This record gives sequence, C-alpha cells and structure tokens, in this order.
Amino acid sequence: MKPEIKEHKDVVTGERYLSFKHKSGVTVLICPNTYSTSCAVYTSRCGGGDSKFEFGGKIYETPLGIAHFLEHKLFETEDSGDAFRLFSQLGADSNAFTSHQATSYTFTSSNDTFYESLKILLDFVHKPHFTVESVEKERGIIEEEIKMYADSPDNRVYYELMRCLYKNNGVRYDVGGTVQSISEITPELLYFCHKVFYCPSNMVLIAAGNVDADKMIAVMDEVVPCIKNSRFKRIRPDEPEDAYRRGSKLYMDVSEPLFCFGIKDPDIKDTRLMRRKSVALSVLANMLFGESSSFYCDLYEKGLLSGDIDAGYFYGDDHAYFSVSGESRKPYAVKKRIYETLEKAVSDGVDYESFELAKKIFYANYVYSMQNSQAVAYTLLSFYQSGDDMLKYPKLLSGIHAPFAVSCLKEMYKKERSAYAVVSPLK
Amino acid sequence: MDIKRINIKEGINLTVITDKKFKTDITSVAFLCGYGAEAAVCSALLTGVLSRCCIKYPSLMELNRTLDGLYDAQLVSDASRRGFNHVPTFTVSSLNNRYSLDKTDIRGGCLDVLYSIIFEPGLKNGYFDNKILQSEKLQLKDAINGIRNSRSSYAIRRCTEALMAGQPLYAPRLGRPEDIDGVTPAVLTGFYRDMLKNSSVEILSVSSDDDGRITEFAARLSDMLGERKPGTVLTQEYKMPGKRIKRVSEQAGISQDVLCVGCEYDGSSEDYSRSAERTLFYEILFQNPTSYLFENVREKLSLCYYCSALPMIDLKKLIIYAGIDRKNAKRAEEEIKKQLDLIKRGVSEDDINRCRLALKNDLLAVADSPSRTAAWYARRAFYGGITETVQEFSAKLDTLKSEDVQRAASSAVPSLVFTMKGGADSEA
Repeated sequence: MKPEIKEHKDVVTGERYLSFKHKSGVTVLICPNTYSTSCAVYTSRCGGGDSKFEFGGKIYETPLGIAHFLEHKLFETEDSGDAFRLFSQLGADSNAFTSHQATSYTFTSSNDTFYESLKILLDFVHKPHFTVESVEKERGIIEEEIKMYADSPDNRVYYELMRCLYKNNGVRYDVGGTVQSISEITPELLYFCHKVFYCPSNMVLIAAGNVDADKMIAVMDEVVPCIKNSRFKRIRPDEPEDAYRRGSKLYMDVSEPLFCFGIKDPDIKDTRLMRRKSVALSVLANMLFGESSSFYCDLYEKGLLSGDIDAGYFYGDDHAYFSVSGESRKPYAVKKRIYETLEKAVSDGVDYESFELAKKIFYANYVYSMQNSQAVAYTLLSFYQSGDDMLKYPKLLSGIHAPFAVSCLKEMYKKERSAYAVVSPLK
Repeated sequence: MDIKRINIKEGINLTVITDKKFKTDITSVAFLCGYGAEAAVCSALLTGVLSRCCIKYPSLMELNRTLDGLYDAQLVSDASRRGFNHVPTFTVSSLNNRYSLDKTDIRGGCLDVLYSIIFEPGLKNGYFDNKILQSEKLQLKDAINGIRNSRSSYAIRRCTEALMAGQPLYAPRLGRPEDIDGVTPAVLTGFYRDMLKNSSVEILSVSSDDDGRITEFAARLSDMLGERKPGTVLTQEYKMPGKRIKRVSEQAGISQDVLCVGCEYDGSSEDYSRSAERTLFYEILFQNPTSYLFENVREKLSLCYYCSALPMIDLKKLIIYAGIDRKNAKRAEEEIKKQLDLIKRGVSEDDINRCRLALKNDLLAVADSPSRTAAWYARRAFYGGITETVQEFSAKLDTLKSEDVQRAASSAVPSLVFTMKGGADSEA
C-alpha cells in the first residue's frame, strides 16, 4: 500500500520537502533538489542519554556509551566484512554520529548510485552482527577515541559545564562513555539495545538530492523489516531547577584558559513555546555576546578575548541551557562581564534595532544550510528532532521580536541556575 | 558552470566562476608575498590589522555590524602559504542578492567592504595605528600558542619544524611567537606597501551570475595597483632522505600520545599535470574509509582511533599521524611504514576503482559547493594559472593505473619520527 505523501513548501526561499510514514513505521522526509550528489541520513532515537529505560515491564540500566558503541559496531556485516567497503564499491562516502538523544548513519553518493547505497544503509542498520572477538577489537578503538576526547580542552570544558549544571541528567556524561563503562559492554547487550531502539517506529529516514519518493519506498519495502515495534519508555531522572554546582576549574596542558558559562533552563515542557523561545534566546545570545556586540568588541580590543566566541541556546527533549564559551587570559574578568551583560538586558531590555540585525544572521544561516544535499539533509534532521518544520523557520524568525526574547531571558535567568567552568593551563 | 580567466594587467589576474545553482557569492583577493620569518608574521599581522577597521568603518563593531546588515556576510582575512611564500588573502562571502528580504544590495556592499579594508586602512601619520597593532600581536600570539590545544595539529607543526630545520626560507603559516615583537608600525606598513606594489595578485569570484560588477571591482583594484612581475611560488627542493630515521619527542600533559611519521616526498608541486595521481594516492593511503591506513592500522589492529596524513607538496613532505597508546607506538610505526611500502609495490584494480569512484563523487560535491569550488581554483591560481576545470581533473582520474599510484607513492620515504608523549592532567 502506497503511503500518503504530504508536501511542505516555503514561498520565501522556494524550498520544499515531502513527508510520509512507511508501512514499517519509519518516518520519511525527502527534500528533492538538483544538486549533483544525494544524501540519506537514517536515525534512531537512541542516544547517549538513553542508558536507562523501561522495556517489557522491567527497568534496565545499560553501561554509559552503549549507543555510541552500537554505532561503531553496526557497520560490521554478517560475513565479517564492513559496510564502509560496500559503500566504497559505489564511491559513496559514509559516516555515523551519536548525540545525547540520537544516533545517525549517513552516506552521500552520486545521484546514479543513490538507491543502491540506500539499500546498503537500511540493510546494515537492521542486520546487526556482533561477535565476542569483534566487540573486543572495537573496544580498543573506542578506548582510543575516549582518550582523544579526554585530551581535547574544548570537549572537557563543555562537559565540565554540563556536570556543573546537571546533577542527574545524562547530558553530564560523554556520549562515548568511559574506558571503565565500555568494558562492561557485551554482544548480548548490544543485540538487546538494538532490539529495543532500532525498531522501525523509532527511526527516521531523511533524504536530499535527486530523489524520487516511489523509488525510495520500493527500496524500503525490500529492506526494512515490518516487525512488531518494541514499546519502551525512556527514564529520565528528576533534575533540580538550580545548577548542581556553580563552578569548576580543571587544569590541562593548554596555552591559555578556556571558559564555558551556562544557565540551566528548567522550563522545557511546553513544546510550542520551546520553538519560539529557542529562536528568541539564540538571537539574543548572538546580539549580546556575538562578534558585533559591545561585550565582544570591547573585550577583544582589550586583549581579554582570543579569537571566536560561541553563544547560543540549546535544547533537547529533556534539557535546555543558554551558554557562552571562548578563550581568555582572564576568564574571571570575562565571567563578571557576562553576568553584567545579562543583568543589564534583564533590567533595561535590549535595543530593537540590534535585535533585528541579529535576526538577519539567523535567516542567512538558514539559507546557507541549504547549499548542498548533505547540508539540507542534516538541517532537515535537526529541525525534525526538535519537533519543528524546517520550512516554517523564516516565518517563525520574522515574528520574534526583542521584548519576547527579553521576557524569555527574565524567566530563565537566575544566578542559582548558572555555572562557570574553566580549563586553566597547568601550573 | 562557466569559468572565465582574465588578465587584468601584468601580474594581476581575475577568475570568474558562475553557476546558477549557487546561493552564495564569494570574492577573494590574494597577494603572493615573500618568504622567511618576517614575511610570515607580517602577513599574519596584516590580515588581522586590516580586518579590524578602516577609514569607512573605523571600529571593529562598526565593521562587524555592517557585515551583519549584509545578511551575515563573512569577511575572512587569512594568512596562507604557497611553498615558502606567504599569501595574505582577503575573502568576503555572502548570500546572493536574490535572498535579500529588504532589497539590501548584499553583493555591492560586500565588494565595497573588501575594497575598503584592503585599500583604505586608517593610518596614523602614514603608519598603522600602534594600539591596533599591539592588540593584534596579542591575538596572533594566542592563535599560534593556541594550536597546542589541538593535539594532532600541534604535533604536526612540531614535526614539520623538525623536518624543515635549517631551511631559512621556511616559516610556519602564522610565523613564530618570538618574531612578533620585532614588528613595528613602520615595518608592517612597509610590508603592506610592498605587497600593494610588487605582489602578484589573484582575484577570484564565485557567484550565481556575472552581472559585470566583479569586472568593475577588478578594474577599481587595478587602478590602485600598478603592473608587476607575475609571481612564482618558491618551493623546497626534494631532499634524498638518509638511511637513518631521526627521532624527536616532546612531553605534554596529555593522556594519548601522538605519533607522526615524517616523510620526504617528491610531490612535484609545481607540476599540476601530476596532481591526479597524487590525489588518488592520498585516497588510497589515508582519505577513504577503506584506505590502507584506516583499514589496517585502525580497523584490523585496533591501534588507534584516527590515522591520517597531511601532504605538504610544496615543502616536499608528507606527515602520517595517529593518536596512540604508548605501548602500541612501535607496532603502529611499523604498520604505517608497512602500508606505505605495500602501496609502493602496487595496488589492486579494486583499490583503484573504489578510490577513483569516491574521488569522482567528491568532485561532484565540489561543483555543488561555492566555497569548495572557490578553494579548488584558488589553490591552483598561483601555479601558472588555472589550467584545468574540476570536470577535466575528474576525467583525468579515469586514465590512472596502478603504476601511476606507485609512482606518486614511491618518493615518500620516512625520515623522521616525532612523538608527543603524554603525562597527566590534574583536577581541582
């Protein structure tokens, strides 16, 4: 039976995409275009934050890092080969990545080999093959990956902030887990997690390129199993409203200190509000701390900020936070300026014109993200994961103004919810 | 895609690339400057000082707000290097005018900013403002020292310096911290004036259509720039490696060692007719997920998470690097050398076909992307002009055989092993 295909259109940019539910339960989004390459991303809503869940009336707690381990291992095929090689035979470029709430498998291919590549993608994701030996071998590789991230000051300062802001939430842990936690992972555990989280109803398939919906459905009919979808329930721990710790300092071999400031936003239940709030606070973060702000220009000119600064509002299904991060030889002077800037915005409001100027940046970034099939597919996925319609973004953005953003900031901002993490050079 | 190459005047060229599907316009102006330690820091400082402000936009905030108003136009001032030559490059990229929601002339505004920051700096008594220079010196020191935070990049830099020891013409892209303090406003202004007077200039435009404005822009630039000798990139001579491999190590507060196997490598940089065989060799050695290094050093032996390589053809060097556990160092080094040797002995038809297909697909993606298109042609511009298109290069890959890959690999001989060795960090 052919599924009902819905068309979504944006009159401003001319972009469009199609959506439907495959008979197996997989949600499918297709963004047709005329680029020379096509891209598909197949995502399971199983990420680093899903280590505790209820399944079949029982509660399970799996080792940290299992979603990421599964990502590595799924590429192995039944005949001890690997999917990389199969993609490679077609000249397709494949990859995978795990976040706190999802794991994605992707390829980019020529338009000619798209459907063959799609078949490989769907096939290996739904046909796990794990042995004791191959799991052991992969453990060594992942241990090196964990050590690599442990040496990354950017990664460390980010997770230090997460560990300050959150007491129980899984975002405080690296998605890769630890050397200790991955030592507990076995083929049986991997098969079990695959069974729970890789059922078709927990998957979304996104494609962008010279792609035809009917041909995609034909490939899916052939490869995606129509199995009884498993029912599981994520268990997200209770989380206090305030930051768990207000600050942290770590010493590493770095040339100058790195800082990461954050405010935890506990008000995340209203999904419709979250969409508007996330756009408003992202624009506000850029306006207050971005490269055109008096905060940035003043500190840069005084030599108190080095290079770029990152500021924004980020959210997932169980957490949200506002953050500002960068490098400074005087991180605590920067900290004082961050609080002063936020408090001034809360008490005096912000300049309407500067806010409207910052909105132009977000509109431009939206258009930039439509520059090739891979970028389009990733953008579509990102909007889908936060429950948004990509094509409604320009309208949503244009309807958000400074007073609303300031009211969101006022609601969120409390000193007790904030924290400041610093990575300093070794003494 | 349409490509036009125009000689504006002696030593100044314009390349105009248009493709209807592009949503972004990119314009860059690159100056082929001199070499050595002073040129390196002056090039890096100049890109910082010029993009801080100018007569028309007298502060960083005014300049940045102007760019925001042009729909987040990106001004990138980059100190790059071709061979030993340092190349200050000024690039502005923005949305195409058709995406403007309020009739802002994005393209015109961007070209205006680019012209202003290059030709109308806010000089004080004929020299760059010392206050701005001092501030940019601090930024440059931070940028150079900050490379340490990326462990593999830092190890590669240290390995390159060890490989290039004794070569006075070589300086890292951003220069060395110890050379920064000696740059005065007079020295930097002298470097700037010399750049405008003598450097070979490459202007590159990538956009959805050619409305004639880039030609007007080039003519405006040309009015400010006299004729000059067309520049040539100065490159390193190939050095036959000795039989003994030199070993260098350095301690760092990290938990994972970084191993670099530095090779002397005759990539014949100036000869772009050989670039296809080199590119296929890189794909087979390290770039593809089925490359010899990935499949063997990582996948089969589990010795690392990453094992990759950085060819520096102008310097006649190739550095293979991996993040490893100390106990696996010897094995990893041996395996890396073994994989390189295997390629030198010949690769299979399957290796060639697989990697060729991957490269050809990647070239299709280059043609889809304005920034990758700009980078592809800009890389070639100073090497005797643009002699082939992406599509012609792609067609050349079809003719390659195992012996071509063997030839490209044959001169890569390990001559130095650099190891960045870990200690421990501490928590408070």
